[in-house]
Amino acid sequence: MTPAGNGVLARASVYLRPVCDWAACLTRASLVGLVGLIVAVVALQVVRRYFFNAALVWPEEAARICFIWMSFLGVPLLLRRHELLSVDILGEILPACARRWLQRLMLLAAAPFFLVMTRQGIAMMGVVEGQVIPALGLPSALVYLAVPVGSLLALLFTIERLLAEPEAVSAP
Amino acid sequence: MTPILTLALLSIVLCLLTMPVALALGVSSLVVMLAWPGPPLLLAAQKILNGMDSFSLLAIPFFLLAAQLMNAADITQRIIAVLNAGLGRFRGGLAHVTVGANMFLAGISGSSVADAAATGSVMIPAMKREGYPGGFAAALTAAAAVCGPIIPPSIPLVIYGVVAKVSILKLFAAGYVPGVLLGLGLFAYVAWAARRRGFPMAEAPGMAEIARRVRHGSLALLMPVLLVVGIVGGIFTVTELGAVLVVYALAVGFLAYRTLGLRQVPRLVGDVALESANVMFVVGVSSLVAYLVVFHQIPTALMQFLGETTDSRIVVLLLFNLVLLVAGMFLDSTPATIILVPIFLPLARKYGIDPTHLGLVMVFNLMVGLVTPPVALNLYITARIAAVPIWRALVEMVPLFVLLLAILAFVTFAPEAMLWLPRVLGL
Repeated sequence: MTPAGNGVLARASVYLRPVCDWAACLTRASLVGLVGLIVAVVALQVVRRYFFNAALVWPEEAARICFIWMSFLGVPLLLRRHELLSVDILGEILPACARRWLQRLMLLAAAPFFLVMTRQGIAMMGVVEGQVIPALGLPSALVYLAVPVGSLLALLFTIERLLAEPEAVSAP
Repeated sequence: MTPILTLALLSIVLCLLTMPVALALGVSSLVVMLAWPGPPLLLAAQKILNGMDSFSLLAIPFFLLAAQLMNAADITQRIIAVLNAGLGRFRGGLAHVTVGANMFLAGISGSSVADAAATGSVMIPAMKREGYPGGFAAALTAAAAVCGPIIPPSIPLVIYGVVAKVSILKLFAAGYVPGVLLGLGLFAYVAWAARRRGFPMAEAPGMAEIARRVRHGSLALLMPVLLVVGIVGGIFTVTELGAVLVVYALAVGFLAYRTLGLRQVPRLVGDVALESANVMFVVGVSSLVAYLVVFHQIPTALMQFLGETTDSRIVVLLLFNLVLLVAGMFLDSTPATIILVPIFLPLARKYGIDPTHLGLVMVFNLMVGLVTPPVALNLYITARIAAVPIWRALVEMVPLFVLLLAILAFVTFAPEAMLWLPRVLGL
């Protein structure tokens, strides 16, 4: 049973693939950049504190914000690559076909979580409107923006995985 | 009580149906938040994000990155070569090397499963070539890898420290005692088994060969020492310590061993980012679950119940062990720690149990879960490498379980034997 037999879905899947590949590539590049930034900023802090005895306040904040973004951007990529931490006992027992349908079902069941996170993440941005991150002077909403961005990406990849054959989704 | 019971059952069912752990916990939390009066859904997003927002948690990607960078420099091989030069001549030499390598790797990486895979892929085939039973090799490697998160650095101890608001460096220092004790216990077991079963030994290499191996391995062997110095020195926070290790690993990979190319780094960094995101997603969602557990007053109810039942610290500690061992058999250590700490910590305070002590009890218990069926991750990995059926590794695991439980009893009932170390160091 493949959705490829269904004309509309198959066409949607074909159009979705390049979009998803592109989004995954961009996300992966952002992850590398964010970790690089975290390492650089904390290393700077260590040097400032222990060699110049003049610690700065902003590196810690910047590192924490980058880390939160890294986490929320990592989740959709992990979802796309079937690499989210899971207990796969049943998956190893079931035949491949049943497993594929079970995975689809679970993706569908998990989608509402990302929908709620998107909506409530945006709502949180509204709640903290006007607040600023003390040392950096950036709006606090920037931190919460990671929630809807990550969740929307996760929804995009969920749709992609629901439409396509699981094997067809390659790792970026 | 009912909402939390529903949450627990629903998430277990979803997990077993192969839904990723974080999503199973998240979906179940949302169901409970919608079905019972309580906090608005807005809090779901806030609690998840707040759970992840901690400078100390940044130590996780640093420790992972340092270990990955050192891996690219083939440290496992180098450490094994040095240890083999020293331990290979004894009866059961390769088994001794397996234990030693796991202890040293434990001082570089913070994850047990990664250690089991790293040492297992080298040592298990080597042991099988020399005629060790595959089941023995698999069980020994899986048990030795339990050292990984007990001997610092340790990702589970970082997570416990953040949730319980306990000094992570203090936890690290306390972890050396049971970690080294477990290593010594394994050495003793190997010596005993080797004599009884006639395991082979190797010829001792010449002095020149030993010197060559030590020279090759010295920078890898120095890293755990650097970590000890960093902890003892008490001048770094745990995150800064992680950053120092990353810089050290970069220097070793680029300048000393020249095993790292600029082109490899983005791939390594990307993998580490994904690996950390995987842990962090579970951390965030588990924080939401922990919030709901407290909101529905589970800790208070439990405290009241226990207060009427017993006033013995021993009974409470035994109860903790029981719950943790069962939790460790089914759950990954991250959600188990985050969800159980808010339940256990008030009880521990009431019965006079030190929070640092509780941390080691929790982490040791949950790590024993890595070699206990049905979800014995370490054992699955090593049995697969050894190409033996899981039951054969399990049979060989029995005496090692006895050893693990003995050390667990020590960790549980002799807190002073661990806590003197951080105290002496002034942490």
